[in-house]
Amino acid sequence: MIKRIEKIKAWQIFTVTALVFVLGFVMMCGYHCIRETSARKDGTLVTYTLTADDFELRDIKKTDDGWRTTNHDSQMRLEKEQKFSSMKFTMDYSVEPGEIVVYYKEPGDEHYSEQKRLWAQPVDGTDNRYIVQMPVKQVTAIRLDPSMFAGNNLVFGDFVFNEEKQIADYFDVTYTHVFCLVLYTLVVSACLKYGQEFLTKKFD
Amino acid sequence: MLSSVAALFTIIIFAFGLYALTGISRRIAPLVGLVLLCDVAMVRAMGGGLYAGTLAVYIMAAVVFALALYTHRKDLCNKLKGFFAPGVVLFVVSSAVMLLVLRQTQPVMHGWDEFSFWGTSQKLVKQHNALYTYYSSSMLGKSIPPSMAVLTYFFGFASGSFVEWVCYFAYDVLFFACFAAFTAVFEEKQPHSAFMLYTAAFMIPFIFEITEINSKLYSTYISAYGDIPLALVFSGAVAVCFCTQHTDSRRVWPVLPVLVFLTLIKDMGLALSCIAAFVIFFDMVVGIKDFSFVKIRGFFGKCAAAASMLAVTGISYIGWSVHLAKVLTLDRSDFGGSSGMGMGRMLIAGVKALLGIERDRKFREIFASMISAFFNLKVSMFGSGLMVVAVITAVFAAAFILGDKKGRIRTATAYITTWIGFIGYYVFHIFLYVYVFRNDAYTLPSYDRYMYTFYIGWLCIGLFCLALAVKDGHRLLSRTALFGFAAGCLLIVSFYADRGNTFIGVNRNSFPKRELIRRKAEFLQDAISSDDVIYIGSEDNSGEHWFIYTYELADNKIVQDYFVWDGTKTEDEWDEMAPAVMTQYFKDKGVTHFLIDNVNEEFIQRYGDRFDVPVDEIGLNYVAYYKVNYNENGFYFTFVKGGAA
Repeated sequence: MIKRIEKIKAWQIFTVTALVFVLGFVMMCGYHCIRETSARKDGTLVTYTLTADDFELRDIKKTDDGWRTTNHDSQMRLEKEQKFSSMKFTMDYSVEPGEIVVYYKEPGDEHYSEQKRLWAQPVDGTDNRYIVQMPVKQVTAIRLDPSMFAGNNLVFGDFVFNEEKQIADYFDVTYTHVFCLVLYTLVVSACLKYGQEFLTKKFD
Repeated sequence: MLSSVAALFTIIIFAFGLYALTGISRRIAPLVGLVLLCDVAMVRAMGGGLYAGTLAVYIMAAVVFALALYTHRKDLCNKLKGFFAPGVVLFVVSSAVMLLVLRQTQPVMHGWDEFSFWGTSQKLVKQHNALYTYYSSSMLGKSIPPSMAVLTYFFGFASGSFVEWVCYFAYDVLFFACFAAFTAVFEEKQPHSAFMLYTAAFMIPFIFEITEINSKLYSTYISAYGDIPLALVFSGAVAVCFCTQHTDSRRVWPVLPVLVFLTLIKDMGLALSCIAAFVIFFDMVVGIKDFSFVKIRGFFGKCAAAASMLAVTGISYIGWSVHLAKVLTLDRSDFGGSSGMGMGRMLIAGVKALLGIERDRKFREIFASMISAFFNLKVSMFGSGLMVVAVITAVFAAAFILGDKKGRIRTATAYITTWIGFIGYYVFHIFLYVYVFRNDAYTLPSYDRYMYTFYIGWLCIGLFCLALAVKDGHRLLSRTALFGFAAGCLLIVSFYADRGNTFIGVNRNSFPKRELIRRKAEFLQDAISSDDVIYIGSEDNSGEHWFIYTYELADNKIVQDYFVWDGTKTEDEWDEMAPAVMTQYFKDKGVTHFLIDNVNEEFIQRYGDRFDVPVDEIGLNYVAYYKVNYNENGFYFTFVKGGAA
């Protein structure tokens, strides 16, 4: 046994670790895909559309041609128990809004917390369409903070909830994934190499 | 992009040249090469020849490389293979990856002091091809030394204009060069240990910058501040000597350019350079037997080495002071500050107060809050200063227990000398808060930044000791300790940081205020001429808008006070800003133009009649620029340009 371990080369350790991470990532994406599809099948996850008027507005005033934030922490709240996976919306603004974030509450939560926060990403190539998404979860409330500025003139379009995704969307790879893959692979394979030395008592 | 690639390439070939020609350790070569190039350019820049100096260092690097190729033409392949040790490979790869990430995300300047000095200085230096002491600008910290500005200039040398992310890239390459130097202990092949040490070093700045789990953007690796460079170059300087195996001049001379660079990062660099020299000297005393420096042997050789380190530190500090005195007629020994004392008088008064001879109320209160801050203020993911020191002590203790006999002595010595350095550093900051800071001193502004500078350096030195133990001491357990520490750092950082608050997650929504004011300044650009003296008025009461304007309009003189009309003003405060008072103030400062960032109703009520074109329209995304005129009724403003940016 020890002899066999001794024979394993460094590049083998590295490749296998990387493959395990990639496989783990693919499996996790697959799991989310299956869960969402089944939730859609049994009718708990539905696609629907709202307008800004359906939200409870805090520190946002309705004006003649849109809405206007009156505070740098203006919020749009929606109390609704539902399965939630994504929200896509259109928002024009007079000033770049800054970080757009969505908080959510799960059953039993009293307050919104920073651990349950999502960042709105611009939809590819547009500067007024945003998407917020996460693996499907049961939520009781959603809160959108649309702008970091007071006095921003906003015009909202439709809010589309839980839009159906393509299979490929579940397997979307970002820079963060690549960065983490490289870093964790290197760290874990360095640890495994160390484990090999530990077992065989042979040090480089 | 191309100019960054050229700079990185130049550093690598110069490092190779140094390694091949002088025989210094290859892992310290990138750091020594980088700072040496910057030092030479900096010396020329202080004489007024930044452009020529930088051009000269590019040529110098090429010449050294060619010379190295010629000298080693027979065993070139071996030499090149030998150069790319794991530490050097990590340096090259992480620099290349960082270049791609920054090019993709394109972060811009966004932190407070990036607008007051750190970012503005780099922008000005690029625009004028000369140090910021040579021309007038709205920048505040003109007396701060120029290491980092010259470093960025070196990286942006071949590009036509100033690109903000290139500054971040320059800083990051410097950091990676330091990390590579950290791995110099493992001169034999121990790639995975070297990698783990590198990873731990990469994680350490996060540990001290992100102290809360909430996800606002923290600028680790995309910041132009001088604190992290100070910390890492400090530990890099120690590493250059501590981690190498040479016992002759090659152990000492590479430290000298690093100390010059360190001294000229910011004023505190002088203190850290002295501490580094102190740590290195005692390490040499206990750690090396047969030592010779420029043919002086033994203990006296070590003394000569220490003397030369202190000498270059002193010369660089004095050199910059002389430059300031000559070019700006500025006396650097006078700190300005709340007490108006010079450095010497401050130290005497401080020591007296510390010994309890003459303690005034300010000293007593700040002393008490500094002591309590050490125990209570959270400065890192580990917790307060006490927790940080506990972690550092644990690292040193592990290195001590697991090391061989010589390693133990060196570890213990390093621990003691760094403790002495820390106490000196801490006490010095008490003096700074008491004698230099004004009323805000009681809240200990920027305490965490000032302190983590030392903590980061200290922790890194602890890691060098642990690396010594891995090399010579108990093979199994020392590696367990190193791997455990690095993996622990990675885990705790993964727990605290997510993509939203690190350099990876930056996008165009991350810097909204900066973006807003950039657009406004750009909109007004053609209306502003370079000799306008501008007064800025805004509803923003934090001063952040003002700071960003000083960056955007850096070439203009911008009056330091700031007209604020947020909704909270009392009647008395409005009286202090009555038109008659303000007119006199404007005249005294020679204000020629009034830039209005935004207005509220109260401002329009009180000042609206003094504008020829109404200001009612000026909302969040509007901006207006007025010429200031004076008559017997005070000032009135005529419209120059305005509208939605």
